[in-house]
Amino acid sequence: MFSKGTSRLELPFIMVPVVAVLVAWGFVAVGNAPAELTMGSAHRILYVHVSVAWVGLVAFSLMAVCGLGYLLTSKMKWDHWGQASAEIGWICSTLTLLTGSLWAHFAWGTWWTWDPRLLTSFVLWALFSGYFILRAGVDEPHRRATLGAVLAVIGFADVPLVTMATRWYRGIHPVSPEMDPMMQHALLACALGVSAMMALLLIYRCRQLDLEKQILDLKMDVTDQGGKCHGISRSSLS
Amino acid sequence: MNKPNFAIEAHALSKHVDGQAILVRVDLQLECGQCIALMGDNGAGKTTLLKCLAAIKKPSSGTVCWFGRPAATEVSERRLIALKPHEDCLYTHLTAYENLMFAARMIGLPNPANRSQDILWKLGLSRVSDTPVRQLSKGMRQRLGFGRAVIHDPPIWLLDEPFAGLDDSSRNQILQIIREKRRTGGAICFSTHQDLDIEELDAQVVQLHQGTTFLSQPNASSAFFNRKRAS
Amino acid sequence: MNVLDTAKQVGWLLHKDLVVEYRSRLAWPVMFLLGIIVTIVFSLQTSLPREYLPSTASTMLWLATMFAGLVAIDRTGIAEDQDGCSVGLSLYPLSGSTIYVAKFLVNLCAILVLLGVLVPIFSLVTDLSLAKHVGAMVIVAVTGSAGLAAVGTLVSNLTRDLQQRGAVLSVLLLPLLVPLILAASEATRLIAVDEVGTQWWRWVQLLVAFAIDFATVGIVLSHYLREE
Repeated sequence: MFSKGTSRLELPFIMVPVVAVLVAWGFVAVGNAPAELTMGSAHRILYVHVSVAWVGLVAFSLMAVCGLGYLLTSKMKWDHWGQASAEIGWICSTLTLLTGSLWAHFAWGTWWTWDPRLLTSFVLWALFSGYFILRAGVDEPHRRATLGAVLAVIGFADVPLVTMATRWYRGIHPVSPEMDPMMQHALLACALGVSAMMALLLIYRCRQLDLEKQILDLKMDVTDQGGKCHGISRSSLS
Repeated sequence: MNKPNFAIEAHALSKHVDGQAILVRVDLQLECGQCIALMGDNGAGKTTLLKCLAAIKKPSSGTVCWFGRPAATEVSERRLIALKPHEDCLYTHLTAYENLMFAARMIGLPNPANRSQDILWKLGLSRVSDTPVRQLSKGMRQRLGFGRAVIHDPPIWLLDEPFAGLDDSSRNQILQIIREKRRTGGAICFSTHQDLDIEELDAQVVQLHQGTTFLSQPNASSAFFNRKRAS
Repeated sequence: MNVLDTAKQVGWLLHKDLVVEYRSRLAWPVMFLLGIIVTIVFSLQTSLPREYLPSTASTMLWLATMFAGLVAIDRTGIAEDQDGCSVGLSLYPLSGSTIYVAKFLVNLCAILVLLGVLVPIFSLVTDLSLAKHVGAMVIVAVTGSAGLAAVGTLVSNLTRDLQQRGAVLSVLLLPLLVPLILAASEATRLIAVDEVGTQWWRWVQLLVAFAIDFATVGIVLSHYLREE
């Protein structure tokens, strides 16, 4: 069981530098992007905003896929991926609302306004938050996984609404504005950097959840074999 | 070669909730015509074991088979078992008769009205058939709950403390029904705290302690029972 | 299990729930009262210029319906938990989907009756003229309630085992219902301003799609929500 874990230990040596480079590139590109005509430097919020919004949507989609996977197979592995993506997604979704609100303050002169995309994004954030509240109320791991999976699948209905909100309904949120090539480059670099970082966090979080479950299973094995377990000794883990 | 076909067979059943072990690798076999009494302190895992056997609680690991097939793979297989849980599972705003009718219809019995009347009569509840359940006494509700559970007369009966809080005559009625079922080849598993129940039903005892079955004494009281029958 | 048997089971479940509700008056009186109170409280806010009245009032009508409907949906779930009835239900040869359909119908009945009471009161206290297009209003009411009941029943299934089920139910349900409330309010507004045309039809289509989507998802996913 653990030999698989040790081979994966090499992963950070490849992934961490790659992610670091991507994030650094994002920083530099955003810093170098030309100032916008009306908003000046404040428009740089936009690069982060679009990037986290994109990762948030991907995370929710991933959650729904993992939810389906769990419902069809009942394997806890799926639930760990689902939970990890929910956590990453919640962070991104929160950042989307915060950066969006900041941007709105500079661009539209208000912190929040009525707009289909703002509303659907808020709904997305509320659903992510509800996911954790729902899970917190259930003790049994499989039951918790099932409930979370079902909510993830239902909540996925909001993802197309968020993406299509600006196209289907007229609002104030821009669809896909014309951009300077330098700005496009900054946006791309920033999106790549954020995605890579979140992917790394996702993998680590998921591994942590896997290990947590393994520890719990080991404890249970010890109990099942008749001994009382007050903690795991080092020898049982090696 | 021919494996005996147990009515219920549980293998290495474990149930953990939030890191707490409720059941620990429990093995249990129940043949047709056999009667098993689950004994143990409160919190020993009797109720959880019965619910796992009835396939309404998912075990953390291990398997439950009904007649050699994994339990409740299809919903229609639920007709094979009866579970009388600790609660009575009755709608308090419906009458005794309506409660039984509802159960019979959900199970899809061919003649729900006759079957319900029959059960009410057997349990001595005909008099109160049109009384809303919330006006019935605790003992009457308990009997009615028992009737609701076994209304379809399935081959496997799982009963969680079927005699708790019953007076002597009600207890005898239910004992009579259980004995009759056993004689016709039913497999019965019930939980109890009373030695008397075990003697009167001539049951095998399975002791549960902190989620483990640690003692199984075959027909401890059969001598007593045989003597009684002879006299 | 054939379709006829399942339909019979759904019918008897619905019958049982309606009889229990008729005798216990557990959910509906609270629902009506809450709906009427919210309606009256909201109507205090409608001393707006005439041109804003239709859009504000129709949104309020649907918000009132949603809040009151939430109570009914919550109560339908709780009714089953008394005296271990939900355990009893899980012992019958019923699929989770059968129970979902039955509960959906119970909730649909409740919300339709609620709207039957709220719509007349609303048009009285806010001078909203919905009487001109009764047929159109009935269509919006039916499709809107179906969507509300479909999502509500599903989410109430999710929160069934939770300690603070009522609170979690509202937290999960309100965001999911946002598109429904928007569409239903718009459709109602268009009825009020006498514009029952293609635009109105598009909103009704959205309501129908919402109801069908969530009812289908509910039927499929309830299967997994069965076991403890």
